[in-house]
Amino acid sequence: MSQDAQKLVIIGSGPAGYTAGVYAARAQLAPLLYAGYKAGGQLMWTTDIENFPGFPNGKDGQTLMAEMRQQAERFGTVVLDKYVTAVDFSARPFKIWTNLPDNFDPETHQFDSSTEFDKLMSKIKSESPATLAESVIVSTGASSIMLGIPGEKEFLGRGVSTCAVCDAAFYRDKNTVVVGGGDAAMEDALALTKFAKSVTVVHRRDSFRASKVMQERVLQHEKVKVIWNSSLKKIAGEDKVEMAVVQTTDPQSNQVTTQEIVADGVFVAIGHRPVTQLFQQALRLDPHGYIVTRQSVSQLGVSAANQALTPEGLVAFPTMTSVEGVFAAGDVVDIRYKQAITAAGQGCQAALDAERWLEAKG
Amino acid sequence: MNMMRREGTPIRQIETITNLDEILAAAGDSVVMVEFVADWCAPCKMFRPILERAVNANAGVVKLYTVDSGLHSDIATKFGVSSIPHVLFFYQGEIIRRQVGFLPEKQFSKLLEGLLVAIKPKEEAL
Repeated sequence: MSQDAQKLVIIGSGPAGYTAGVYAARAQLAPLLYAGYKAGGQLMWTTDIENFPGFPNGKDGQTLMAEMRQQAERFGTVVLDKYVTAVDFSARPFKIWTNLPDNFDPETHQFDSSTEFDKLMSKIKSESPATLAESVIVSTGASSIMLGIPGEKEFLGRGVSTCAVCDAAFYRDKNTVVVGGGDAAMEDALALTKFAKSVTVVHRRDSFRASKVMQERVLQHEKVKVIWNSSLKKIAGEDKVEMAVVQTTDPQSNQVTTQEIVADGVFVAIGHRPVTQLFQQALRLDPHGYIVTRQSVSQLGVSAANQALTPEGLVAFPTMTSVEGVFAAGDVVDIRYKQAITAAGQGCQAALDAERWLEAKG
Repeated sequence: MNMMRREGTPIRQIETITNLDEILAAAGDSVVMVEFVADWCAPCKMFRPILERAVNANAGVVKLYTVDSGLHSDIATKFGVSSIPHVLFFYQGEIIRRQVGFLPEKQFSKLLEGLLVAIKPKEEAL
């Protein structure tokens, strides 16, 4: 074991990463946490969190994340606002890089092929790693999915928005469309009802998956209309968004109909995808890109758990990934729940697992 | 107008279009960044310290003003701002670039550097 290897490196700074930081620091593992340039994760974009226990009057996302960070730092977690750009988990200590070639923009770069991605990785890895780690917790979370339809990119900032809470006030007495059926879409729709003339929610199923309390607020609102079993096919206009094309599939007859609706603003909230591109070759992922751990609620997770049973019939280190010593927590693993509180819970589990695993290893 | 003379105030508020016109007229060869924000905009709060550091790193060359688009929607409308955070970059009275949405610090510095390089030849020619 290298002398200068960190005991634990945490990659990611949402509720999972910061909670892991709190627990690991209190276990005196002196964790190093890579927070990225957008430290705080998805909750930084949420105005009011009403379902995190302990805050009966709600809590704004930024404050909650800033306080979680302070709590992790208070016990000795060192937080760096840098991206991890490459990892090597093939041998311990694990290697972690943070360098990038000049003029490479990770926010906007689209890889043409996996070969191009591999080339970038080799280039990064030709330099010395930034950190060595005896154990790692991956909690990189998830990023929002765009529709990928004509007009979406072209009109971003001119009628297409990903932050209804920010932009709702610009749509006073206008017609707006929200795409999605989860809590984020409900939050967007409600934010818009305060200003807009109409809010049309377009959802691909015949019911919402959002929490009942949010659904009710939306469905009972006089300004809201829902178009079920439908998706957006196109956003169009001259200088700014003027209309959207909605395609509906009748669930009984499978008949497809298309309609144009008047829209001044389109708000996209169709969900998230796990941020795992960096770990494609390093860790076992499921077909949707989620990291598989021994507690993943899938066949892959059940198989991994079965292979990790102790003589007492317990699953050893439930948050461990396919690589011994690498753990994962939060939305990057979570196929089902995806809540701040479940992410925080998993971050705690991962830190406790890492602590016990390091102890057992000696 | 008196607000822009208040030295020591890190960010000066623009409250009317006339106010903005006066600022631009007095800006000389500085790049003027006008940031549109609102109280309820979480990404705006994340963006603010990045803009402030960019101004400090380019003291005298780059200036920052802010418009509360909740209070002054007429200014937002005039410049076609319908999504925030939104930064307009003015040079010699003209918009030379817009940034819609939050940008991490590294990317923002790169954007600003690019703009400063692009206007340099223009300065030398004067």
